[in-house]
Amino acid sequence: MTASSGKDKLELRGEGGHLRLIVPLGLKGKGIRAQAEDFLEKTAAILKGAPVVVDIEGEGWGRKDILSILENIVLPAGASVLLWSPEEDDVRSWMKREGFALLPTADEREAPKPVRPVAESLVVDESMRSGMRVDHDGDVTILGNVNEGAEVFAGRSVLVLGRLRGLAHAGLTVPEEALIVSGQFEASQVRIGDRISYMDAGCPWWGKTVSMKILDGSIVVREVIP
Amino acid sequence: MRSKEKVGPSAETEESRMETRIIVVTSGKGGVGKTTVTANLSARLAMEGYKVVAMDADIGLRNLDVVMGLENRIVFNMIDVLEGACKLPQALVKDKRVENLHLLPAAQTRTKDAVTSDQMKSLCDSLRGDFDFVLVDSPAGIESGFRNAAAGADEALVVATPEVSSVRDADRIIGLLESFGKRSINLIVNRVRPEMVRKGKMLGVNDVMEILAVDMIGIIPEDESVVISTNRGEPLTLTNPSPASKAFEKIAGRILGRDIPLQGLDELEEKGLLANFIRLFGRREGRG
Repeated sequence: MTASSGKDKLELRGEGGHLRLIVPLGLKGKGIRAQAEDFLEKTAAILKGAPVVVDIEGEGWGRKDILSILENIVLPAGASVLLWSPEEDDVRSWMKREGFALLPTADEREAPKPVRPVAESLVVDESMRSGMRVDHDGDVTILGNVNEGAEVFAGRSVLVLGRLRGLAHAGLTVPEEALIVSGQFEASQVRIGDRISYMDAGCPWWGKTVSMKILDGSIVVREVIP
Repeated sequence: MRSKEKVGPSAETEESRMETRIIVVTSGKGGVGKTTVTANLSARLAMEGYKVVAMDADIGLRNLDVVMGLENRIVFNMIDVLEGACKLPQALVKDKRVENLHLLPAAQTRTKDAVTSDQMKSLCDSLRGDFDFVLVDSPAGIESGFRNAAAGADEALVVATPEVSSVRDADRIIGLLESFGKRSINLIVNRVRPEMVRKGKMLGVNDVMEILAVDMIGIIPEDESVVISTNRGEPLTLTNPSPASKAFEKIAGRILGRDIPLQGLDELEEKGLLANFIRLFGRREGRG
């Protein structure tokens, strides 16, 4: 089934168990509102109560455009958006960041994330002195201090109950879930995944109990108040 | 075991002889005072009446002989003993100033690869029974020289200065000593400058202890008389009643098991009118 008005016009297609609403690039801005009344007149009966995948063609779509699609087409028709399918990467990126449910691209569908077996936790029951190194695929817990010159590399999280002065590199295999937690943070450098952060005694959390993780591509430090 | 009160050869009997204690003096970092500590503690323990060997394990870069003022009397060295060129007693240089003090010098013309850990162990073992203390002056670093020096020792004295680099290296050395199975590891913090510590410009002794987490056996203040005595080849403990000399005396006492409290910052400084005069005079001289 197809309900269309040609190039640069809203288009509705039937596709399996849902409808596909195609919004061409030419309608960005005021074009959606201009075509909405005519489009809804033809498709109201089909759209009512139907789950819709919204295809957004081209680049440069912003929040106002998305809001315009919802306000002028989806809500008046009584439809619901099942998934959004922006064509361009930047648009996909900000919509994903803001929590929109996106239809996976062909690449994403073909390359599912590998499921890694979770390695067991490693517990080091003493302080780590300069020159000592721990390398483990899972979580690493140090029941003591990590002195300057000692190094901890973990596939997942690093937990130091005492003072962290040496190098902690967490998230070598699963950076998005990795944490670095230290009872007393005094390290000049921390690493999570491929992110590095440099710090010094001037940091407000220096000497305090902190946790760190990656948020929006950066290492974010949070003071832990027991 | 010899009791603490029975000091000196005259008080010694077969029953009272203690087991030989072999102590490696090490640090990781160079220039922190290992050789000075070895020379002065050896001299002090000998003055207490114990039979002591100060062994220079820094092969190729020997210095202990110079600091002890015995460089002119060396005939054989440790390598000669290991290679069978002489007997061990022939290589021991007896100090004429202190009856029980001996030096086993290193070779200056060989490298650290000239000995193995097993040879060092057997050399140390051959000194057991004849002496009360063997203090082994370790070379800097963590390579074979250090490993050989530590091989035959039962105990370790780790020397660190209150500098971040020295503390880090000491931490590395302590980790290695622990991995070698040395369970008696004590810390000496050398060249402490109380004034700088008070002003927060130098790591405090507590900071060093907190990081290294081993037992502290002594604090030695920065003292220019150490430089003078080193150049003269005369261990401080033999002659000079300076703050560093007193610190060595206390450390020797603690090694012997005496209950001597650690000094605070105030106690490390030279006190009294004369000291104040010397300080004042020294400053003026420096300005001039």
